[in-house]
Amino acid sequence: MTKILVIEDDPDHALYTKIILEKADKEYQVVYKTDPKEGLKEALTGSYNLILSDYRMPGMTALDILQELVKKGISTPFVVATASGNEKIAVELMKAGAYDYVLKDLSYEETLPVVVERVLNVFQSLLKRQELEREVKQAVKEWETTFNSISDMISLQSVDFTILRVNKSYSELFERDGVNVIGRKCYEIIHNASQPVGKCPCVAVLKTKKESVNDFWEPRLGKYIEISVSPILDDEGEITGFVHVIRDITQRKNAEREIKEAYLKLKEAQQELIQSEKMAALGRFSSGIAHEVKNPLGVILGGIEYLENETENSSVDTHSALEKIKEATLRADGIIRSLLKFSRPAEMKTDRLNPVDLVKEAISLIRYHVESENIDIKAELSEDNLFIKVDKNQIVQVLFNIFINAIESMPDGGTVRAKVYKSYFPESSKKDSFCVMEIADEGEGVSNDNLDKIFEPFFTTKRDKKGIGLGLYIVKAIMDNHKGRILIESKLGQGTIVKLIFPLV
Amino acid sequence: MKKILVVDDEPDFCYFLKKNLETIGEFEVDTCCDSSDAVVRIKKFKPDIVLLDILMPKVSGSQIAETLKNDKETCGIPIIFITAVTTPKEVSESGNVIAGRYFIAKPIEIEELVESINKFV
Repeated sequence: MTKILVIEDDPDHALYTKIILEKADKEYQVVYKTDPKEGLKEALTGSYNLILSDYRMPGMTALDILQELVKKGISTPFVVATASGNEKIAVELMKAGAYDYVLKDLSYEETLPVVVERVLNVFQSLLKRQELEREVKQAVKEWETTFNSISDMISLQSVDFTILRVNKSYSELFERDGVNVIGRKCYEIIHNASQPVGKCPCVAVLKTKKESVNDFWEPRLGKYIEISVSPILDDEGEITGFVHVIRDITQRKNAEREIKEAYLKLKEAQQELIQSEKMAALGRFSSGIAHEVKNPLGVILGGIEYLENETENSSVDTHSALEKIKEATLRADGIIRSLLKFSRPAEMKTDRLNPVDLVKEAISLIRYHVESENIDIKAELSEDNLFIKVDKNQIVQVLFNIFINAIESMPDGGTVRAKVYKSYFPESSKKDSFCVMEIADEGEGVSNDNLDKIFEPFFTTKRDKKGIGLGLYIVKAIMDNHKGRILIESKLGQGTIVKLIFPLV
Repeated sequence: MKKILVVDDEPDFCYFLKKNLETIGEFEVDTCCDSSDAVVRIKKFKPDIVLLDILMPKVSGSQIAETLKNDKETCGIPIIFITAVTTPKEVSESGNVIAGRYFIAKPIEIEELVESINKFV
């Protein structure tokens, strides 16, 4: 139903109008008022689809009614009917908000339904447009709210990397110092660069027309960021711009790094545990063997002694053969003894000692040992107010063994440097300081494979020079008994640094 | 003739030690390779001195020494402990006496052993 209000002081004309309209369209339902005041009152109800008003009426004009309606916010389409020759008035009314006018002339019957239909159509499409506008506005508002409430930093960019639009997170991050990012290039704003950076996902998108993602560390921001770029394609599939999303992944990266570090630490600890378990097992194994071997050696030595007496009158050869057997047996006995001695917790006689004195003593023993060789021993022992609690003889033996290794690694001569100093170990949970005795050579060095085995009993690279492979095994055992640590750093062909680390007392 | 009893779980060691000591001509030597039998053998043989290995299966040298010390019949018999763990050098450096016990280290030098025996008997 289309409700039309007719305001017309001439009752005949009002009825005439009603008949014309209701005839023109069965949907039209026409109410007319011949009193303009009543007409205005009716119009103010706002319940009509169209108001048709005569212009000149007693005490009131159509303009008065229209202005009153506008004032009250009634936007019902308003059409004015005037006698011909009054077009000027009509124009004035149109300016005031009337939709159209119709002349009360001979063509009234014909024109009126056309004008009414047109006005209704215009109003209908106007309503539709308003509805659409409202929907669009709503959509834009929703989109902007969404865009701005996303914590990722989003920008829309043209194909030449110019930033066209950014969300709130983006401007909060990059416009802090009053910089306006709109119109600038993304590589300037994000990477502080003068051209697209190497891993730029935009460049990749230009090639592939597919989404591209890359991680960046931005020192200027102090953040790890993940940039993902998607192309905006036109109907022909050509790229017209980018959706550029920056995500702050600093926390994730930090967590990843922490996990990785923890994992490495764990692995290292596990490795150390395996190593020390291995050493302990080897120690038990060797001392077991040593016990088993020692008794037969005692028998052999007793037998040799017996034979020496029995063969007193035999040839020189027999005696020298027996002497050689005895020497070899005594050497074997010595090896076994060294093994046994350090495979069980030795009794230690510890004193508060100055490590510098220990190094000096070891050096004086070494000088006696390697007089003729082309070896220079340089000692930096200025730090002489450190003290450690150790068994003097055992630690001098440790130093002696390490000096010997250093010297033997330089068959053509060279320099051994010895240092004593105080150091801190960041990996130590307590921020304690330690005493370090460091002995460095410029010899052959140790390969990585051999470094893993260096403390194993009977591991030696000097088998041809009668090396037994107990030197560092004993060193390690003594260091363990002292709750000290030994670190060996080595590079093949460049030399070896041995650090003996003791808690300070 | 001085009477010596050697207690060591290694029979061949005992065999040669007995031979080597007897060569000198001053000693009558008996050996015991089963430590659980040692005390009985000592009471029977009545040695002037006992050479006692420390690390032995069944009964250790220390236990035997303790038993001998607590028995009126045997408490006067001197004991030389035989150690395989400490080196002869260390033993001689400490004057052969460690923790109140007289030691001699394997491998045994007969001359040194004889010297030690003569100190006691």
